[in-house]
Amino acid sequence: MVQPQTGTDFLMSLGETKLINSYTALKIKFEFPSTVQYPNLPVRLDFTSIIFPSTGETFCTGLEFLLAMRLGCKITILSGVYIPFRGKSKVVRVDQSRRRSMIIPVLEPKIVELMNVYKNELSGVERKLCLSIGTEKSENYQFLKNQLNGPRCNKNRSLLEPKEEAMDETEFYGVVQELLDERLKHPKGSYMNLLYKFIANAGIGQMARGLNQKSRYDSQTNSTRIQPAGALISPLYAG
Amino acid sequence: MIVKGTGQYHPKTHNGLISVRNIPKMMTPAGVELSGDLHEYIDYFLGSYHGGRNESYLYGIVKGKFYDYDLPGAYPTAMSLLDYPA
Repeated sequence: MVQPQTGTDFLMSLGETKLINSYTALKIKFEFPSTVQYPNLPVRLDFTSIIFPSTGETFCTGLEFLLAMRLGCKITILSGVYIPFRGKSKVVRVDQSRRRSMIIPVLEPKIVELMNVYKNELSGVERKLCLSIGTEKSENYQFLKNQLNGPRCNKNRSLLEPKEEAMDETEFYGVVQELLDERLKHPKGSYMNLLYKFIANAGIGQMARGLNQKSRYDSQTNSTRIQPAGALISPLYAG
Repeated sequence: MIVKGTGQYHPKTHNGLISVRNIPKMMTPAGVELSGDLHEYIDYFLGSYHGGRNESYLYGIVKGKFYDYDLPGAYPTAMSLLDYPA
């Protein structure tokens, strides 16, 4: 839970990166300077109307809060919730002198074992990676090499290929990448291309389906009824 | 299909009784008590959820250049940035 404080204090204590990599929802009072022509914070008037006034009180997400702060808005946080991302992969700086980082996803225990046994036979980046993991026993060097450079590791690229820019791989990253790869196999504008685009877009729609309990037309019963929750429904993801 | 569902994405119930998939039920006396800490957080996220903003800043006939900005793959990109909450 976020305690009552000014927006500047909250942003200073947390930092922009942590705020972006989190699920944050805040109840705030805000006041935009008169120079801002189009304020970004929504305020509900009634069940059907939303306005974007220069002063008011509303609920907003962390990213809306950040944008408002960048626009020079004066914000007082009344209360809120801050839930950081779990962060599945960890970024390890391999070569300090060249300022290169690499991604190490959460590895299967068997691979970690193999890496530890054969760390003396490896060289360079691979060796450094192994040394950073710990010590245990195992069986097959070729299996280890295949695991490290095979297709199972990060789809197209080798696990041991250092990247210029560090990037976390998130939960939906693999699904989205798979759908986009599949989409690009088909020519632009073709039926399958559009179908995969639709599937990729539908994912985010499923996260919000049924949140607002609106009545929608249902073609199966030829009537309107309250939309049931989607398989991926989550106010966190949707917001 | 390439992407296969691995079963239930959300548990059917929270604390064995109330599910996030059934929000109206959570907003009942029993729901609030039985949903654990969930009811404390969920209001903020429900309140801060809005649909996309569509707004026309100019009305009538516009003469001159007209720009229409579009983000290619905005939804999948946004979705790929989401991570599990800690």
